[in-house]
Amino acid sequence: MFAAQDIALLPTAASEFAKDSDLLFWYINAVCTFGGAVVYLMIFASCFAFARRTPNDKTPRILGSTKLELAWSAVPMLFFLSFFVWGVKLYNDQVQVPPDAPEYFVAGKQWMWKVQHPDGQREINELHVPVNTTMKITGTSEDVIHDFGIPAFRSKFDVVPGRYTSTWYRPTKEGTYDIYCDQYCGQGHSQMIGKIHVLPQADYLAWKEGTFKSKEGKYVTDGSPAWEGRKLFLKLQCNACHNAESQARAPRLEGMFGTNRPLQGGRMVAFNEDYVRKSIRDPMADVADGWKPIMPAFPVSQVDEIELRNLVTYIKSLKPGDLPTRTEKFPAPLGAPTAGPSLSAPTPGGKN
Amino acid sequence: MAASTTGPVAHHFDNLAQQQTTVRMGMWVFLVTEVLFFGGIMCAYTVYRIWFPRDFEAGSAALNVGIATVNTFLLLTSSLTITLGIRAAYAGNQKALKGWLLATIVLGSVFLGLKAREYHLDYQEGLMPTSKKVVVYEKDDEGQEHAIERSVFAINVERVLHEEKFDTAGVNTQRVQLFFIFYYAMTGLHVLHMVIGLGLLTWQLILAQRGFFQHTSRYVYIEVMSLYWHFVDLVWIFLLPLLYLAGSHTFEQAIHQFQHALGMH
Amino acid sequence: MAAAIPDLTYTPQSIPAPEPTEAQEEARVNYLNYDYTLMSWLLTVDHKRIGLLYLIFASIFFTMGAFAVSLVRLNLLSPTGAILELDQYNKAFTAHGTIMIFLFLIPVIPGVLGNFIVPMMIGAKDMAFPKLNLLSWYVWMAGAMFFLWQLAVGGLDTGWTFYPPYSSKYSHTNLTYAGLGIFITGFSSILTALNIIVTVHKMRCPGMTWGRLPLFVWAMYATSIIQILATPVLAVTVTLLAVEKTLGVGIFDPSLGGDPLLFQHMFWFYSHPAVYIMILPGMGVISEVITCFSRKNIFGYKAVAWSSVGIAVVGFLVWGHHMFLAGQGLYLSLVFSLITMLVAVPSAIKVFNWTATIYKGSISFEAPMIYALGFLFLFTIGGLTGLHLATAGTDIHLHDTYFVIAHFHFTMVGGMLMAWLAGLHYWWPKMTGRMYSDFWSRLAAVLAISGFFLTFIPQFIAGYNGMPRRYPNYNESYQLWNIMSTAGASIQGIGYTLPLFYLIASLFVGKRAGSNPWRATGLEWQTPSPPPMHNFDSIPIVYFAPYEYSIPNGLRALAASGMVLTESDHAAANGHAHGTHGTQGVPSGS
Repeated sequence: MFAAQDIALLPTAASEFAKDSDLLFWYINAVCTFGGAVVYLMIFASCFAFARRTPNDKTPRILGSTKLELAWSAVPMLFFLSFFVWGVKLYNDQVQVPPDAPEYFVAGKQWMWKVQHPDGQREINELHVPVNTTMKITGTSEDVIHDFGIPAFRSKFDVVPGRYTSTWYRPTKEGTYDIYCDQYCGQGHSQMIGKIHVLPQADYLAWKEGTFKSKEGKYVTDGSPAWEGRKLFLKLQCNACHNAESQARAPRLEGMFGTNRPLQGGRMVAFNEDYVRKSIRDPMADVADGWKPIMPAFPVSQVDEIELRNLVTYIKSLKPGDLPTRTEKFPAPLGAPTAGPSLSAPTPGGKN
Repeated sequence: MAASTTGPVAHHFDNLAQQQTTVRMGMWVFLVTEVLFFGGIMCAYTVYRIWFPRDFEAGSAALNVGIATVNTFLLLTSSLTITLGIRAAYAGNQKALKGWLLATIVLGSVFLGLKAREYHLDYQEGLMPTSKKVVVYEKDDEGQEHAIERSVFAINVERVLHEEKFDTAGVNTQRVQLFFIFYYAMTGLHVLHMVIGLGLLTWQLILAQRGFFQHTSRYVYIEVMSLYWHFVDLVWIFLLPLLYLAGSHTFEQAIHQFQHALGMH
Repeated sequence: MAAAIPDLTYTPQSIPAPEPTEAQEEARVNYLNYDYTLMSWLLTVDHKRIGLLYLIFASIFFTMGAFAVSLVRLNLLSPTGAILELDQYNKAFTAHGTIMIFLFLIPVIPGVLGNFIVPMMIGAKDMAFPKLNLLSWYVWMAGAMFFLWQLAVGGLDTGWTFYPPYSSKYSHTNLTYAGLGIFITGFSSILTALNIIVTVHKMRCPGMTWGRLPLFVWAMYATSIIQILATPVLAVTVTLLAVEKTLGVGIFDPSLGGDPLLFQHMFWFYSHPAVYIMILPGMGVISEVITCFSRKNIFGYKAVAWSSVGIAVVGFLVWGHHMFLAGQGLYLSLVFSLITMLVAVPSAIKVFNWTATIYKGSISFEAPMIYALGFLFLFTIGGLTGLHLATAGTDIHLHDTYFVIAHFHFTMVGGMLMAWLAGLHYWWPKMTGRMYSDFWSRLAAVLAISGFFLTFIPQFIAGYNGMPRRYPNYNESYQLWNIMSTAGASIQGIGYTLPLFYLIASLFVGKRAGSNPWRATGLEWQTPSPPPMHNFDSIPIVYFAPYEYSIPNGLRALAASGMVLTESDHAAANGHAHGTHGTQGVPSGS
């Protein structure tokens, strides 16, 4: 009825972390098995050796032993502490995301996974990655809490609406592995299954070649998240207010990433991904000091999480002089403010 | 002032002393659960207050601190009257006991009356959390009119804050609405506890009328009633600074608000 | 009027109590037969009758929860879902979880055994607040009925953990009203706990000092402390969630400015201590059963008593171990992981002490003991696998998989349910005055334990291999484990159904039990079965610590060995006996 390979018994360890996780797991198993076996043996043996013989058996009046209490408190405690120390080290390993690894982005949504590669390539419910390459993955959710889990990597992390969470992998074994949603999210929770394909380097490059090219250049290249973000920046007319002119209605965004900015009311905020994201979703929340609160909000229906991430990546990449001019032309979406100095005349040499 | 007559002891107790100490302990244990209950919601409030100080200050500024101040005095005084009631019960002075119970009920009822008035004013001013929106026309810098959708709550709270001369720059009305949710939830739970307390006090008054407390050993029931009442008072003492004193109010504002509450102007 | 001092030359451990004749039993008035009318039951303030009221309905609710899971397990026979649609499955597992936790595991031992046995164990005539006790039952029934009604008219599909924003914004089920039902049952929990705490403090008979309390009382006391401190926080959490859902505001919903992690912190602040509310009473029962059926003193009385308190206190500090992957950060995870390791130690201490208790005992294997041994075996596995989850690094893989499900079922079912059945079978003769079939009860116990093992061991394997929880459909490679699990569940089901038959049958054809069929120590056994309305014909006086199975001749032997009071103390106690409470004129305890 079941072929041997169809039964899940010892799962594949397909990443660096998986091997470390398994090592600790089996260590804990070994200690617990040993401890448990000792207890079970005692119980089992006692049941046989001390089964009742007569209704009036005499039993010794043993009340306890402080030494024994201390011993069997201290020894388990020491073993538990060893689990703790090793476990925290392992946990820390997964939680400390290498900052310069290529970043993949995942948006969980009822009931699918939308994934984006560092260079902009998108996939749905699939992820192709090269073997033996460290990769970082950042995620959020467009609705409820989901969890992006890959059992073969022994790794998972909750993707929470309203914030970014991350983890990282270094896949070591080629193959195709399951991606599961590991936080109950409604009707389609068990349908949110994906596949991660770990490919040898050559195959990975070929896969990429078959779908798009990447360009070199001073500005961000076509297809990358920052480029997509720039296109959106223009399409949504962000540059109508966020531009370098003296009468601009909004702050210039160049070179701000990583600094602390003052807000109205005196607080300081760190200009990071979360802040940029929040400023786009809910601009009235933390208004920059010295500016009027006139920015419209952009909800999920207008800018989904992947697009939002692209905007964030774009703004992050802005260095002084990079901001598009106010007049760089792109059709305005419905309802966008059209008043103000004319946007119609294209400027020569305008970036597009 | 020893008790001269002892009341009957319930069947499962050995003696009066055991009964009394049991009743007291029961009330204390119950109050512990109440501490956790109100403590839980105060913790949640505190978390949001720390995250959004400006918006919670704004919300607090929109509240009627005049009524709250008067209510505080009423409630503190009612704690005094119920305590004096214990003394009366212990001494067997039925008339004084009924008087003090009545005084506590009256003071508590006036508190509730003012609270009702306060909720009514809040309702009139439109400070009710809602997801309703209206379309308003606003002029921008160049004098052009635009149709914009604004939250009803936002419009109302801005108007109130303007009247209270509170600078609304940088205030997020979405979060002020969150403040108001907590305000209604916490004061509402407090009101519920007060209503229950008044019910119990009334019941004790009726019992006193029937001579239940002729047995002076039964002063312990007035004592546990007072414990509950003090607790309700204590919750209010926490709610006052958390909710009402977060935003700044001047003395004139407080008086003005109280007069407004009484319909005087 | 001098009270009769129990005759301590006769000790239960040496000579079985004289069995009453059939005629004597028929004539004797006890708490069951003094009035058969319905109103006498519905308006009773007798803690024993209230305990039975809890018993009837807890059993009914257990059956409902078991029915819900039978749907789940049948569905899981096939990787594509054998009998249920996705939505129906989600409602089924939610119903199973909520009913079992809120309507069975939390109230059953406190409501049944806590109410019935604790006052008797401490020599009291009733609980401290009998009317409050009845009110507690009515509140429980009201909450339970309301909650079940909500499940019936549309169900709940959020899981028993109902995390927002799914529960407040996306689920289309009756969260608000279901939450109200749970809120109301929470009140009952608080009132019962209040009653137990005050009873244990104030209603102990002369000589019953804290150091002489049976360990079941210690366990119930610790449980009650947790209940009064933790349950109000659940009430507030459910209230805020309901407010968010009904008013559409953002307390926990990030799209409206709230924080979903705040909900998780508040929810688990209650729900982790809740699991100790569930297990501690069970551990108390095990202490009673193991000592009686090994006829030996408990090894390490102080350690077992204090470990109950230790679990209660430290159990409040570990809630974040449910949130290692929620995004709470390294520092918090570190703290919670460490403290969770600490809380594992008292449970381990108990298991070692129980093992040492049966060592060199005189062990007999009636049904209560089989359940107790099953507890030792199964709970140990449950506790040990908790370590895999408490270790933050391995939890990354195991979180939200069947490994977690297996872990908590080993502790809750393999632990708590087995302990409940042990207690039910142990005290059944006391409560009803009848003995049940020895053969059928032992068979049921063996079926339950072995069925349980078969059900949940495969789930550890499936979980380690990554099978997520709350999945109506799953990858084919997990099917073998699921089939084994369902098979085991069927066997378990038989094991749980059998008691219904032989226990009820015992009421009609069971042998009369007599006051002490197990020859146990403890005050509850010094009074006839079923007990008279006021429990004891006279106030008992306690002279020595519990579980003195090893001393054949009681007081005289102890006095001879110089361990306890003199004859003059004995006489002094005689004179001061009636009407005193506290330690005046009464032998002081250990």
